[in-house]
Amino acid sequence: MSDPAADEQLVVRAQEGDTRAFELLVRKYQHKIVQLVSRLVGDGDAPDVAQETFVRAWRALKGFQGNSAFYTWLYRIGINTAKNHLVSRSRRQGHNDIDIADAELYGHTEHLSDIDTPEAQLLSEEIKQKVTEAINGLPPDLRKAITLRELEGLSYEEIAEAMDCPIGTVRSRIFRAREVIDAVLQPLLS
Amino acid sequence: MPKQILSAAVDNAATRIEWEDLLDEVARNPALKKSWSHIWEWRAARDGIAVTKGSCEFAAGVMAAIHASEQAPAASNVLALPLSRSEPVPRARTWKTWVPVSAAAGALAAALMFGTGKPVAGTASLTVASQALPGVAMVPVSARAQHWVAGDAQTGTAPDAATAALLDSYLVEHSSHEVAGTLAGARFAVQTASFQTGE
Repeated sequence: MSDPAADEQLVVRAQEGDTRAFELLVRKYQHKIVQLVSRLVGDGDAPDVAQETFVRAWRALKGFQGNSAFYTWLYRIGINTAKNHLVSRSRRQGHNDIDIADAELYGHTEHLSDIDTPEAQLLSEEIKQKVTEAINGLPPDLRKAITLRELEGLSYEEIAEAMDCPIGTVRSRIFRAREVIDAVLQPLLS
Repeated sequence: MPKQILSAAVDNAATRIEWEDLLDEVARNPALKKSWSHIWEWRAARDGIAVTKGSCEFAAGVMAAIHASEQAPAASNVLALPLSRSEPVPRARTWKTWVPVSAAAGALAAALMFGTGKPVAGTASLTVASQALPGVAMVPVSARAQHWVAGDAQTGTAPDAATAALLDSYLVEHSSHEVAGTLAGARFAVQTASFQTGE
């Protein structure tokens, strides 16, 4: 998900001041950033710190050189914002519960789900289950196309070669499969 | 059709023109934003990332904060804040105010003290001597060019021997308390004048 080329179109437009492009980046990475900062500042403050992370990223976006993936750059901003939050919170409370120097280490572990709230874990499991059921109910050509794309991570060219069909057909099949999946996710996430 | 472009964009398979069309459409159609979010929420759940409801509200909050932060400086440029005071408040005088005055006073005092080139103590002594001996004009020793230091100022003649002796006795009597009494300067001047008279 942090493929540098995947974000290039949106990042370039956002650097030119296109807030529509930046909003899509926010929607893309918000859950990763919220989870990252929640490990540092706790679940209660995580949404605010995550929001501050994106606001800071927007302000600093013109300085993003593209030497790393956009998410890597955003990750650093999230860590720094969380550190600043911890420092200010420790000053307010007069003590510090967490070693700020070690805070960054928490971000490298992607699956510390024990910090996540039970509600969030439940919703994630429910999403996976519903989507799996929806994929299993798809016609074979759609199921194969979406499985090769989402679960195997193949490109459109590779899927076209594997299914022996044009790229346009692959694109259409994946789109139709996602329409079914989206219909399943609507009641869960809205 | 926009949804198909969105699906391709999620997989980085959309062209530049399709991206432009998609962004225009996203701005008009909130349902496209939701579809975009749902795809990434599913991918996040698949990767073990916790997903919470209200992602649309979160993104809207971020964008609102960005718009607010961008509009805040512009608004401050045109906002006229009311002044709390309509008249200027006089500044409290500080010690710095008196520095030039003190310097000027010091310079004036120095000019008065040293600007005449005459010894102040000697002048005072001569004044006292002239009051004690009416008719005898006293001049400082520094005015030796006149050759007559003590004598009749109008006629320019030297005092006679009796007057000089009387004056000398007076000065010795009144300057005997210490070696350098208050009349020491005047006595020295009279003795010098007496010596000159003796010539």
